[in-house]
Amino acid sequence: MRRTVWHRMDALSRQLTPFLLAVVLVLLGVVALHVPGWARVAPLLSLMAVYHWAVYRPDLMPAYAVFFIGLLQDVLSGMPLGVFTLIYLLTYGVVLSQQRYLTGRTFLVVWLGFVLISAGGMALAWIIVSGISGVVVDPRALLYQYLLGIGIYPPLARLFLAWQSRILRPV
Amino acid sequence: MKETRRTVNRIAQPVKTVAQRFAFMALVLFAVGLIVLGRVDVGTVERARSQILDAVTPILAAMSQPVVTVNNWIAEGRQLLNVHSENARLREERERLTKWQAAARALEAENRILKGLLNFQPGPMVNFISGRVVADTGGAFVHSMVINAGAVVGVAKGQAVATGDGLLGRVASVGERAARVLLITDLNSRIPIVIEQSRVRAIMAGNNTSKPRLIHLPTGGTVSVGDRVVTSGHGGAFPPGLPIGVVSAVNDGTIEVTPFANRDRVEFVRILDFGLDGIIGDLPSAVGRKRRK
Repeated sequence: MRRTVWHRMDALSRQLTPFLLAVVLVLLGVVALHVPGWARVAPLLSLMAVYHWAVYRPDLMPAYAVFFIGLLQDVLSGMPLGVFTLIYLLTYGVVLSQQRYLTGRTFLVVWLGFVLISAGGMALAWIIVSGISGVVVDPRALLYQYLLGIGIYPPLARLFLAWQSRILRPV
Repeated sequence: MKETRRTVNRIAQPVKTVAQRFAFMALVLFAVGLIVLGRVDVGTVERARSQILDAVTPILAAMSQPVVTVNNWIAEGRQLLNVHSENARLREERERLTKWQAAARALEAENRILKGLLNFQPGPMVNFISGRVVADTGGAFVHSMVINAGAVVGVAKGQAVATGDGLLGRVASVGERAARVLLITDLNSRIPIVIEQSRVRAIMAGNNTSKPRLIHLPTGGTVSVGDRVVTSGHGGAFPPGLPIGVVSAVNDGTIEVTPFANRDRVEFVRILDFGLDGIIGDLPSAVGRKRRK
């Protein structure tokens, strides 16, 4: 009996790690790094986490967790509240609806999926923010942010995959 | 037994899927609702935002500590490499500044006499509050920072935030122990300015690039490259005469300003408590002020 309780607690704490990892990435993404120009083009690390877990382990990244991550990203980055929340949820929804095409594919296909979906997400965020502020937001910084994001995705996804095989294998 | 379980599964599975779909749609609608609410009821959303920010800021402050340490090492290494040329530069600067000091002393004395003659009414005193930058955020959409000083130490919405070099932005929202600073380069930033030499007034508008622009220039007011831009103090939000930047480009219609304050380097900021709420201080900050007093 005692053993199973510990087993369950162990499994539960492991199951929580994808969500916690995403929260840590939200925080890491906004810490002042004092690198010239970085803050203007800092990619959305937490979006990568949401995408990755939606592809590989959607059972460990439920929609309300995605909502919370998006909301935290909104609050910390000073965005109009709800914008990233919406983008993250839609990203999650699109990935789940396309799971047939994404599960069991090579890393390259999954990466390509991120390239496409994050482009859509960024474009939507651009439209919403431009609409809200009534001014067309300069798209250049956004383009750099997007390119940096798709460049950073592969190493980060490797980390997630390693996490998956070490920490999440038993659950 | 097995049969019943299969039947249960057959019914439960679609129900579960439908429930999940419904929950997902509800969350999406909630997010859209948040965007709309943020436009309609600014106060509530901002208060919620400040509370979350308050909760997270200690974690951000702890996380930014190692970054600061590493950056200090790098800076120290660089200084060691450049110590000779730096020394020569500083000697030269010291010589130049000594001359300026003499000039400033003479002007100060003259100014004091003239003020006495004119019975000049000095502006309100400015108090400083210092804060550390714990987050530098927003990516392509928002230019803002989070500092670890809030209403507890007297930070209020609308106050000017400056570095040693010049104006950095203004306080956009305040929590108990944290505040968000909207940088002068942000899309939503509008600051009344005056050209230091010609006293031409204008508004400096951010545009999410590193170079904000001057708008609403009076007809006939000329601005040329190299002119220093300072706050005008109009609207009562900022103290007048705070350095902002220098005009770096004048093309037909657009006048670009390069700010003195460097966003990437800034680690500590000064929040200027001017003693006035100005036009920007509205309900949420006014409530915070009353509670403090």
